Amino acid sequence: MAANSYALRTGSAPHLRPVTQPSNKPGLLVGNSFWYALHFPGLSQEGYVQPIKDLAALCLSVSDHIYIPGQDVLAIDVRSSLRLFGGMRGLSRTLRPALQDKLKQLQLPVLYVEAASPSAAASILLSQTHQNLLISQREGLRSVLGSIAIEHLMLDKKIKKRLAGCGLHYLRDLWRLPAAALRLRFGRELSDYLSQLLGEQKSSLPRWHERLVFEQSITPDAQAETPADILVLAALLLDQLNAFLRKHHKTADQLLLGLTDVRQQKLSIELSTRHPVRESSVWLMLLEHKLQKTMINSAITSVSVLCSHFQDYCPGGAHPAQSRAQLSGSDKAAPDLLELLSARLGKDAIFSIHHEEDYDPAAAGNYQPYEHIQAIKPSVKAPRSRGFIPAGKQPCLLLPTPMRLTTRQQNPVYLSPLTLLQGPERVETRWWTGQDIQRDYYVARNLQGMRLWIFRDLKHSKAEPDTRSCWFLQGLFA
Amino acid sequence: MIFPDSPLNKPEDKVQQLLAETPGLWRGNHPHNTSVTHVGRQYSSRSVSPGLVDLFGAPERHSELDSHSVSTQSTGFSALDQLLPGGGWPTSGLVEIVSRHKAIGELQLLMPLLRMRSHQPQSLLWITPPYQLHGPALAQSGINIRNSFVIPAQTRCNNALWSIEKALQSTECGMVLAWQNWLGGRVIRRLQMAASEGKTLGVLFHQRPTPHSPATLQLELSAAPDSDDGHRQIGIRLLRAKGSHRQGEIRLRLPG
Repeated sequence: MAANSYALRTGSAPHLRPVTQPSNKPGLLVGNSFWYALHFPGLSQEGYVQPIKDLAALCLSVSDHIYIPGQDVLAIDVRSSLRLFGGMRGLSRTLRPALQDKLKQLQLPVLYVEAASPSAAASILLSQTHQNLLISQREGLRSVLGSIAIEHLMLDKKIKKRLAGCGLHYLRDLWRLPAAALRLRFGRELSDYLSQLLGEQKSSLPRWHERLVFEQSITPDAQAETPADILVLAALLLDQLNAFLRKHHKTADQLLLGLTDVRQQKLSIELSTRHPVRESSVWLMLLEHKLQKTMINSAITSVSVLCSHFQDYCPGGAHPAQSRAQLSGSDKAAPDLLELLSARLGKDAIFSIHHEEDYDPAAAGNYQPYEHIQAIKPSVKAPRSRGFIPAGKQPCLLLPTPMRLTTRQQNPVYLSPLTLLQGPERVETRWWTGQDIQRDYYVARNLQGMRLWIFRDLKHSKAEPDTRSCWFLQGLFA
Repeated sequence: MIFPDSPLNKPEDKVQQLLAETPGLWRGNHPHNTSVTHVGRQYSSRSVSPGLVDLFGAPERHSELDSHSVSTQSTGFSALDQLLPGGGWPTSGLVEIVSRHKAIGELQLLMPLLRMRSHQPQSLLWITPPYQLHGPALAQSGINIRNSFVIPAQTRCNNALWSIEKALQSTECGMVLAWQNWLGGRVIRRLQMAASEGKTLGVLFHQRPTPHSPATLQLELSAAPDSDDGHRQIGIRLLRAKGSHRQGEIRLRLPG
């Protein structure tokens, strides 16, 4: 890819003094990246963390690859942006008004130092040493950096002290020494840093990502008095959210809808989907069901939407939920059935059936909120048994807590006297917890034809032999 | 004038004659029908499409009763297949199961169906079962419990009905099992329409039968004494079947 002529002429920019002769030497973009560093002296004091992020956010208009190596310096990979902005000069000119406005807004000195080179470390060092330079060729780095004092390097103080002790005060002193000897004597950190400065090695800087937050509110002229009014207002905000998600290639699986009434009381409604979505129609449908359940006592003056958790957009058909929808031929925009149900009934009203390997029937089978299911993909295969098979046949319906049965002539009764058909089957477990279980289980039948799973509590019968019944109903063979 | 010996004096013969004269009189009329009492039986004698074989080999059958094709699948019990029009459970629609008492084997009756449906991609929804479903027992019976979701009995009646309707309308749900003490005809009709829309099978467990129910199938279950060899039995009475006039009662032996 050839650099455009404007980019190659950037060396003539008045504030960027050309060192080599880029205008005559094509190949500005020979390397993989070209780094533009901005140093803000006003942010050097400690405590300024957020301003540099605000400034970085402004730089997103010229490149997505932004790095924050320190609280007063930014490094931007602008290689792929040079053609669009007409070279370094055009890019710098594009950024300048926004940066100056932001610095004024932050009440900081409207001053910053720019430097650009094929090396990130070199650009940062040049900007930090207040050298407005544009170095277009990697070969030119060595001579330009040679005059920089070692005390300015981003190195450990001990290494700097050792270098000074050896009479090495400038980078040019180091250039004269063999790299292998430097590495042997001063360690890997120094040699790696020098390689980075010369563009021979990539800098390992963590890329900065802007934290996305969508927060919008709307205050209508007329107060919203019915759920339909609220839905109309919410639809406007959700359309904005949809546009926001499309812009950032994101999807969301939860958002918070805030309602403020005339008494300035705030009500928050949390909407969440099982799979991340973009479509505002899904959120609206969930909101409609939520509003049916929500008691709104007074008119609503303001509606807001806050969404701060995002996931990367998954192209159509790649998501398990979408593929399942396609499998069943349903509308893509339709929400998952369980999401729809949980929107009205509540998240804690839909359960999946859990299966534990335990001899205590109550502990072996219980419900769990459906969201705790690990597999998103619908499981076609049955869970593989790991060898645990409950001894004897157990009923499909179980009482949450065993129900004590009355007795007639020491025989258990449930609606009518019970006839024991099978049993006993002894279950003794949980002795290590102090709440041990000692039961004899029977299959019984009453005169109505009901087949029941009952047990005789041995522990209880020993403790209270004659006072109360020791027969309990545990389940029903439906 | 009435001739006592005339064969047309018998009501069946009169109906047969009417059927011959007016082919579209009965909804269950079919060219192969020769007798009213056999109207329903021609369902079970239908040829099985070789492509429609489910996971466990139970064939799906399509009756050609009228323009509305009714698809059925085997119940897993040959006696019940013979009783039901179409030779099995309908693959979609609403089935009402009426039993005055619980725990007489109503779920055992559906086990082969549940086993098959739970292994399909669509999920199984249990709405307000009277007691907690016991996972190990269901898994032991071969039901894929990972594909099953439960709305517990504490749910309010209107929410439960709303959930049944939404689940029946959804194509993500393969089967809905719901327990309600009693539902009116209008509600049943609405649920039946939802099931038709989503092509989903819904099974409603009642304690009292709904008169003139628009459900696809209405069965009444009753407890029966155990067989001589100690096997559990259940009495099944076919109250109503959509598109059929068949009625009957059998005693079914349930697997151990």
